[in-house]
Amino acid sequence: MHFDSIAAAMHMDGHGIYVWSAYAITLVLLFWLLWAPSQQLRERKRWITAEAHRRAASGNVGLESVPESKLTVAAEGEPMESSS
Amino acid sequence: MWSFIHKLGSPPWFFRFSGRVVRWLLPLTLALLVVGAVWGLLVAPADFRQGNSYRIIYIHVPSAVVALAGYYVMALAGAISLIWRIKMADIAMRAAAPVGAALTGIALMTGAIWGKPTWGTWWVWDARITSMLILLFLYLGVVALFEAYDNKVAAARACAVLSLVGTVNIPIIYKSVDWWYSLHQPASIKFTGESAIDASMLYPLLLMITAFYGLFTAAVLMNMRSDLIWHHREASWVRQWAGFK
Repeated sequence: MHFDSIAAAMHMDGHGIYVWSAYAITLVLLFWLLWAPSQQLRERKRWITAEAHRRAASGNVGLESVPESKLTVAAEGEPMESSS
Repeated sequence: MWSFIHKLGSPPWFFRFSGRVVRWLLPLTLALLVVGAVWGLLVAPADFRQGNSYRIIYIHVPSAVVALAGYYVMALAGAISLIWRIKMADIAMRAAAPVGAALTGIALMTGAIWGKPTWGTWWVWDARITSMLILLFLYLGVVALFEAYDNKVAAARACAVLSLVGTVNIPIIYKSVDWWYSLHQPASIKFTGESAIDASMLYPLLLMITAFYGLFTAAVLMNMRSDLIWHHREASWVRQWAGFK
């Protein structure tokens, strides 16, 4: 261990504010990098299940008869995608 | 080998395979990150000239290195998508762009924070920093360009062309500290010859570079999985995955 105490590790001879803030910013961005896609996947899974149940309830399981415009309607805060 | 490459193009197979990879890679990467960060922050000795501020190197260099390598991955995927019209390559290209942008952003911000105690300024318009800023705009450009088109086939093609044109910037970034006079120090790690960095500082750095590569791979795969699911949301394998029989 390079530092004698926690206070010394925080202060880092005056450089602590630079070093720790750089690591904090990195931590936040890296967390977002991994959290955003997993959250998006979860939301999409929910949407797909809800949509499939809705169609099953209306007796319209097949997708051929669903107009393209209906397939791209966003639900529950899902981002709109105009085509796919 | 060829059958593996062939399988990569199959969405259900790729989705399952990438899921398994992420499940292993993510905890391993996070463990490496923690070990590397603690080693770099608290265990490694202080630099004889820069003191403790040099500890930013353990996030600055890995993020910059992987941001550059990630651009090649994005451009290569763009080229494959452009030449062979492989949908998976197009998805990979788009998945890499936000991850590369975030890593470039980290490299620029940590560089600015490191610059203040070392050079006495947050920012200088020198060749290395300016070309890194261009890299950030290239990554963001690919993200924005795709969103700007309604026709996603045309959008993917435009993004592929932009990412390919942008590869010109990568060797410029690599060589900028040799070609132009700069405040930025030249590379400390060399593959040939002796590195200009002591082993006690080098090992945590190599560990962090490995961790950042793992993180890039995991984040790109996770983006691809989310994109794949949305793209194939009408397919029966997706509805089965979502729990609908």
